[in-house]
Amino acid sequence: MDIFSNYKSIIEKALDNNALIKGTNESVGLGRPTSKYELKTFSSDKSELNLSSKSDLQKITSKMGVIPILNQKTGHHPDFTHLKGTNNTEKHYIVSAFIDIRRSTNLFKRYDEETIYMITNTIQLAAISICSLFGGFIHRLQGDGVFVYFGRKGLSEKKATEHALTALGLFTYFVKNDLQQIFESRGIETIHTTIGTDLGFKKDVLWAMAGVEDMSEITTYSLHTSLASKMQGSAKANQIIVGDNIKNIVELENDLFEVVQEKRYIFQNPEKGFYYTQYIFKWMKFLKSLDYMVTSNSGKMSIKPQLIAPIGINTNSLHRIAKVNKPYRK
Amino acid sequence: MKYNLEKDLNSALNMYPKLKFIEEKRDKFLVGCLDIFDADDNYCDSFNIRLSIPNNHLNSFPKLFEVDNKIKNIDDSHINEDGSCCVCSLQEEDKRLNRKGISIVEYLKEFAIPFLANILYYREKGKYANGEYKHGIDGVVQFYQELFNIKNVNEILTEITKSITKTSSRNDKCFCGSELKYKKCHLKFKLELNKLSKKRLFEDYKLMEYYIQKKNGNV
Repeated sequence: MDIFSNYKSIIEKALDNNALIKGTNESVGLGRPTSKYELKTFSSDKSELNLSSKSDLQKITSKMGVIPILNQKTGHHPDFTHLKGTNNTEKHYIVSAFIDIRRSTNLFKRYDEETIYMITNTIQLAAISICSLFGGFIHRLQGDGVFVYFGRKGLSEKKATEHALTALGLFTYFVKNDLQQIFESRGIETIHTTIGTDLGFKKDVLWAMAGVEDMSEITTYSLHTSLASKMQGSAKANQIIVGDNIKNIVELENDLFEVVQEKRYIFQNPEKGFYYTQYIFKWMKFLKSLDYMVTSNSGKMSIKPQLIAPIGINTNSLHRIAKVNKPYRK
Repeated sequence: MKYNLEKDLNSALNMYPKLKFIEEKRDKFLVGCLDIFDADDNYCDSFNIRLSIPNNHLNSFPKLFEVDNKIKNIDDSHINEDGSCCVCSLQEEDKRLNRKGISIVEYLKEFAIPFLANILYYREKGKYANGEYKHGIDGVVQFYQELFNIKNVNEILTEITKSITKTSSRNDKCFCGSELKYKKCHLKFKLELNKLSKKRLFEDYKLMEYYIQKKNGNV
């Protein structure tokens, strides 16, 4: 997808570091640039990283009612900072999402640690950018993974869930399609992502400070945050696993959710008759059905241009589609 | 045809996920948005549509309605009185159904999307990509005139009669006066005519008879 083109470009540069095989001076450049992509250059590129078509994306998120959280500080959701340094607690809903990036250990055979860092760090940054754009709060970074909250005071549970599913779907598309293409074109085993997400309603989510003073964060104590993490563990390559609460609140078509056959109930308490189902979320179909996404004749997905003025149409190219038609009127 | 309606609908919904299936009483529809791309995969525009699925699925054309009235704003637009889009001539429709019937997916790919692309082309260039048929009987006459590459409607009627009654062969002299046999001259046009159903040919014959009478001031 075009929106991740800047991230792709950095990863491509890093992947082309195979000019120098780890620990040797042997070149396997295959005609690609032989100069090494250095950490210094990476740091400079990284500081300018941004999503493409950002203005179109912002128009979309604005229409979706996203309330972005600017100047984020991990572990300190701005709506709950008043709990910092206190023993106070507060009940408020939250959508928790755990994103993990899984890489093959074979990557270490081919690349040095710096290159692997540049690749995985860029993928993590893509996750951070897209989640932040859709109102996500980056609560914690866990190695290559990201723990994100979606939800704000004044924003409904349903909207926060929709924002989460969109952001997570777009990120998974990036990993499954864009990254796969650049990895496979270089004959490298691809990286994939696994995601688990769930919604905890107000009655089930307690916000409080964990830790002390500088070693503290404001976090949630909720079965559904724990389940999101557990569901991420159930996810296979490029799957998003969601809980019952997510499925029930968004009112999407049933065929966008498929029960996880291996283990239907991610949590059960028979004594209380509580059985909680986990589902594979059909994120690709969901993205394709969104009004602001378009899928071309060849299956390429992109953001629909949100322009006020009409798009400049290439009439020669359009002619090739239109010429088979000759309209008539009875 | 292997497709049943359910399978066809599922294929259409998978291929065009912005469409939704709805049923109103006994009528079936696909409603939603169709995105139009050019041949190089560049997005051009979108249309909100309502596709009416015929009861005799596969043996009849679905009806395409454009719900935002984007097309109606075009002068001389190809919209029928019932508001449906006239995506092709009656003869092309007949030929297509005669061949192997038409699924919803095929209709969307072969007729709906090219028609909507053609609307966009018209919007840009002020003309359709491959011309257009005139409205009503004139369009029927135009179809045969273009098929045979002749203007004389009487000669067309003679050829239609031969096709209906199967009274001509490849070895007969061609109608065009070239003194050549059909197989050496206008065979291609004759074969095209054979693709039309007898019902269509009968109806067109009657229409063109009326056309001649009207032209001669007899109606």
